[in-house]
Amino acid sequence: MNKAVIDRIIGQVSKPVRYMGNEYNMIVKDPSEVLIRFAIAFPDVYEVGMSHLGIKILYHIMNEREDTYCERVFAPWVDMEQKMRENNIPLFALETRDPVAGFDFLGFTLQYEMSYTNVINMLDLAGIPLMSRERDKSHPFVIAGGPCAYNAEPLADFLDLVVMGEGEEVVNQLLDEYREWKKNGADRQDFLIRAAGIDGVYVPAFYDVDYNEDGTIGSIKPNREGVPPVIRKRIVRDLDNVYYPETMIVPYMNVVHDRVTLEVFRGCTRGCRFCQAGMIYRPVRERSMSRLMELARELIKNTGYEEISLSSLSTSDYSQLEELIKQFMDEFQSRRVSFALPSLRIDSFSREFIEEMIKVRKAGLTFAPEAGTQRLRDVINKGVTDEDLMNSVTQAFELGWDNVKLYFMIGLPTETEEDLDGIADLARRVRACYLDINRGKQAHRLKITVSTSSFVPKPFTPFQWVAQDSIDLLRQKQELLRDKLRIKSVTYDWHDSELSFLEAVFARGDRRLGKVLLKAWEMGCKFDGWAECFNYPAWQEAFRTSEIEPEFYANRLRDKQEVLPWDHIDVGVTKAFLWREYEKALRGELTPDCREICHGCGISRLGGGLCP
Amino acid sequence: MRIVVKYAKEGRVKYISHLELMRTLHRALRRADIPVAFSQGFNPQPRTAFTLPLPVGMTSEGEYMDIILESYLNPELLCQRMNEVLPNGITLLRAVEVDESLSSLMSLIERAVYLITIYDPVKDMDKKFNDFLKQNEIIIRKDGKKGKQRLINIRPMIHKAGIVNFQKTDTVIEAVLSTGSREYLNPNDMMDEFIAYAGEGNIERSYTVHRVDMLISSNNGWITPLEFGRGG
Ligand code: SF4
Repeated sequence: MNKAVIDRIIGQVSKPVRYMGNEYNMIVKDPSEVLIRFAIAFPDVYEVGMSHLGIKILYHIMNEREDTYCERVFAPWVDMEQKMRENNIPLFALETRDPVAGFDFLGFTLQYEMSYTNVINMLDLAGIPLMSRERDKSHPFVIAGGPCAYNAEPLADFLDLVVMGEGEEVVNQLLDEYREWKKNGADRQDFLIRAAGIDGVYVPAFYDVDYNEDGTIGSIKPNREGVPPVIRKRIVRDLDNVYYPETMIVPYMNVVHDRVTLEVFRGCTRGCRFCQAGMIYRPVRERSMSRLMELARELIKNTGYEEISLSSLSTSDYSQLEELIKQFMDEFQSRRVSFALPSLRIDSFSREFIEEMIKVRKAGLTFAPEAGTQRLRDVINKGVTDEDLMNSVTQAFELGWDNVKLYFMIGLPTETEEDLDGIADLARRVRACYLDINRGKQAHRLKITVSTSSFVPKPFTPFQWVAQDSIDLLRQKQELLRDKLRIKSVTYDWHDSELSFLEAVFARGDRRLGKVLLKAWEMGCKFDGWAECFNYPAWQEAFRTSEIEPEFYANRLRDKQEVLPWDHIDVGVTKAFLWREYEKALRGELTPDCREICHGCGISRLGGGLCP
Repeated sequence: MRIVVKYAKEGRVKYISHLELMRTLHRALRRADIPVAFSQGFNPQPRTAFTLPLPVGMTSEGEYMDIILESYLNPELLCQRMNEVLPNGITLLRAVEVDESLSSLMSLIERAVYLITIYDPVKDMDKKFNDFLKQNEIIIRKDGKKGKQRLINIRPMIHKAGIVNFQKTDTVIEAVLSTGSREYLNPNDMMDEFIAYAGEGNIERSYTVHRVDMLISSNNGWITPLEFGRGG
């Protein structure tokens, strides 16, 4: 009955394909023949979630198991949610359209803070009690992973389990443990205790947090025996031997990354001080070229995709990149498979490289100097000079590009007006460079887009202690920039500073923010990352009624001694290293790429990778 | 070599758009390793052509695609290889080789045959439907360009329509409607108009539309594209 209703309402909403399932390579199993049903959930719409590599990997890993059927679920867009509520349709999985409330696990991937209200909304739509402590044996275990899981404290009350680090190996251990537990028929608590024994698994309910009078944290301690005081993240040591799917679901919809994605390596050694990914994904581990070619062949064959992209935090750092590209071109160009390289660094452009790319495809080019002056780039350890930028831009213009995008952050620690002037200067120099190359003739074709986002200090970075600029200050800076960037051929766009403020609150938030999330959700907040849904006044109201000052989290400078809400999580990189980097930042001192020299960040304790 | 393929779009995939369907078929061509020809130029595309889009939400066993191949391939083998790599619901039914000089199907097809099932039939449905068709004019409003509404008489575009299966729970109408680039009637428009005419304008769309085939006018009367391709 329900399924007929689902079929009908899908036909009445925008983009029905989001809820349709049935894509090529979707896994079909008979649910009555498995022991474990897992719903992997992405708290955003289908086309965003289906662009995410981690979900695809986990989906296929779990479905390799005979005892498990993993299905997908995404956040229904506002119109679909309304239809579902009107017709009493609970949140359902795409594959079987069965309600996820009847599954064994509901696993969320947390990619950005502003999806937290969607997590709550999806629990509610599923009919699962929102709070972990309210669930009983009839409910699924609600589990989370992904980069935000390293500080999932604002969601601590809603989650039963959190997985720290790379999921490929942990997930199998967890499912094995679950299988045993399910056979024994013990109570819910018993499984949580078993799970907490697996390295990298965090059960928030097993820890107590107490607070000092000034609102800072006094301590975070286990509240029962046998639970580790510190949870260390998991990593996969050898990427060549870890599972990587040789097939992938091919969405009908034009999703954000609609192509074969090959992960060439994990981790990054550049050490940009604002970048959380650069710290939490260490150490660097590469996939071999032969393995990459093998995967590319299989994936193209099994998906029929017309494009491959290489993915990593800075693909140009792959030790055999030129050779890899050459092999790709040799093998795939004649088969009309094109090639995309995201996350290129401006200091790494070689002319041959761009020429190779241009053969296959011509798109706009993005450069990310991040800051407007050399001084500030040194503070953030972005080892790129004006000269590097101008060289790359010159090459791009010589090769016929007319369209470039320059990406910066505002509100970085120690920023002054001079740094904003620097942004305008760079834009002017880029323009002059174009006119020079094209002898002033084609000025009308040139398009330079300067785009700024507001800096959000993140946990596990050298800037985890700093205060974010206030919303007002960020706005002033944006206005200043708008004036300074009134330059021909240049357009300026910027991100909403209110959203960046909330990101900063939740990124470094603690458990007390759970009630704010709940309140905001009750007031209708969801899809906060979507401009058409973002309702800042509702958030202000949620903070007010919860009697929590968001500025305490976003705009306060922490000192070295303060216990941070994520101090019981070990991501490998040590707090001592981060503090050293912070101090160097304030002195404007660079820390070179650690492929050259190890700076003792602490990650080598976990083993694996290219570290000495 | 040019091949005309007849295919079906059924089940859950009825919700994919025309563009999504094209992309799906293109990717399947690649998976099946079909030697399809590519256009020249900066952004080479597979040389395929499709008939007019089937409205989202309808099913069909009468869709057509034209494919130009670089080298010879037995049309049946093409169907077989494609069906192995297509998602559930999209099935190639038949394929025939046609002369490359033949004009495009798109420009030749003028009509299509539909089966429309109403799950919750209107009271005295057969009588009301006959009365509906007996009108000289059936005027509907369509949103035109710039937000202006146009009035269209759809009666001449209904070439044949009648109830073929009458039951309490589902009643099936068979209809032949204009489906060409010059004259086109979306079956939903006819049905919505009928439901409003029958005085039940506020019921939710409880009918489904299935396209059975498309028709081309020839010396021998109305024939299907495959018959036409074979030299009709
Ligand atoms: S241990 Fe040394 S080489 Fe490895 S990531 Fe840390 S600083 Fe770099």
